[in-house]
Amino acid sequence: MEYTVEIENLRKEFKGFTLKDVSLRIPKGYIMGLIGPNGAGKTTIIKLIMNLIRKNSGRILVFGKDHIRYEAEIKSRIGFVYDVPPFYEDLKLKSTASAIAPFYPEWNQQLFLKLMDEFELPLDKKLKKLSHGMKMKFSLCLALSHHADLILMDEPTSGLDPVFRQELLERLSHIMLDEEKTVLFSTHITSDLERIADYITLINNGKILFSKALNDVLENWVVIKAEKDLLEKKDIPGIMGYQKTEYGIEILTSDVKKARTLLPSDSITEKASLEDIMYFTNKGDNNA
Amino acid sequence: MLKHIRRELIFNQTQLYIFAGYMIIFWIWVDWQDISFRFSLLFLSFVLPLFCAASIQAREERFKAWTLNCSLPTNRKTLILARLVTSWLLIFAALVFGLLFSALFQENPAFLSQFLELKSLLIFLLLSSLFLAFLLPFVIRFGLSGVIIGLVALQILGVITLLLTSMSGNKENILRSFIHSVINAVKFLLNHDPTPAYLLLLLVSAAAINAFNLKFSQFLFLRRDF
Repeated sequence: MEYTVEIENLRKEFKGFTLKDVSLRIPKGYIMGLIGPNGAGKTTIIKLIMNLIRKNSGRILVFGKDHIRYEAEIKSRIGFVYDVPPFYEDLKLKSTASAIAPFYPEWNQQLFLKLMDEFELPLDKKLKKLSHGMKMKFSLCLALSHHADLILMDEPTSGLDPVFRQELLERLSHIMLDEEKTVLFSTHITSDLERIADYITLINNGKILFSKALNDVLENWVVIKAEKDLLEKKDIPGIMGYQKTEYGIEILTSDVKKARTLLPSDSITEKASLEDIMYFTNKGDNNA
Repeated sequence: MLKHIRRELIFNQTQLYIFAGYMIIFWIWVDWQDISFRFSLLFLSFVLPLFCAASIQAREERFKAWTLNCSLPTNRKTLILARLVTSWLLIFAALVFGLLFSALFQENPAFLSQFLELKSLLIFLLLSSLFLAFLLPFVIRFGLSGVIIGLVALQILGVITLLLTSMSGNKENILRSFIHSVINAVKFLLNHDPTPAYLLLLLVSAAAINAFNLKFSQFLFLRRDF
């Protein structure tokens, strides 16, 4: 399998937070969802890929090349959408685009104008007059106008209304018809990813808990609801987290087949959603 | 490099309009009030770099637009080189504009001829380079808030020095000595005979300061996390 992004033992230390020797590979032609609670390290990974922050150690390859040594070449093939659109607010949209466009050899002005029209973005309006959602649309419009092979999206749907969220996800699905493109989509709104992602990486407290195909996760991860002392009686395989409730215990396991063979008949198993997984691995009474 | 200069000019167009307005007022004042050539030269040597380095860099900080600039297909070294080149283009554009303005409206013909002397232009280049070499790395390292804190600290230092001077009854103090040293240095530069060796020295010094400024600013910018 060909990988668009390969990260090995990436480490970044901040005061009070460390991204701990992260390794991650994003296959070419797929959407990788990066999930985790706020402050887990999702934005840090994206900023490290873009060389906006310096790594302490580790290696990042994008399109098979070192992301610092071939920085300009690599970035010409990347479209980026950040959670806070980083534009000069007192400029018009057309001015911003005209300053950025010459940097991209593959920039397509016709496509840009078409997208602006489709997104109902006014070229002559200043960015400060736009809502957050419209600024995100503009970011996306710029990212798509130069035929980027890799699109990095950091919380692109946060603060967006459901209509545009839907529109954005549909557009991403459409982009992926071209199997050359790869998307890294970080979010804490897990329902967005359940609809479009091919792979999921869960990060918490600067550490990657897993990186798997979404189907594998949704098929094999379950929440078991059982009596309170289940944990003491049985050695449930693949426990990723649990929480005690008023009525019993809820356990998140990544191995549904083995777990079922060991469970008492009155226990209930439910397929775990990404939100369940994020909750149990982060806020459960004892995350694994 | 052209696309970088174009980007800087577009992204800072609001600031350019303000700057152009400011320059028009300055040159009207210089021409109508018959302000001396020496004062104009010194004033411009400090104001133009201040605008170019501090103002443009501060704007980038205000909008957190470094994320955008550093995400473009380029590297940080080129971004700093572009900022320095754009700064010098703006400095020379402002100077040419001012001299044209003076050619049209200045009643004292000596003003323009003094300004257009090679020695004057090289002194302007040297002083601007010095100030730019101080400002650009400082703003990159400490940002707009650093500039404000630095200015406030200088004010406080001045007040404390003046207070200490008045309390001790001694007219001489470090601050006064420093200011006198700077004035004497500038006087020396302006009064020196324009021998070829002296002119070459001015040019080489300005070039060396700019080379140092570029390398040091790039070094600082590479170490920043955004």
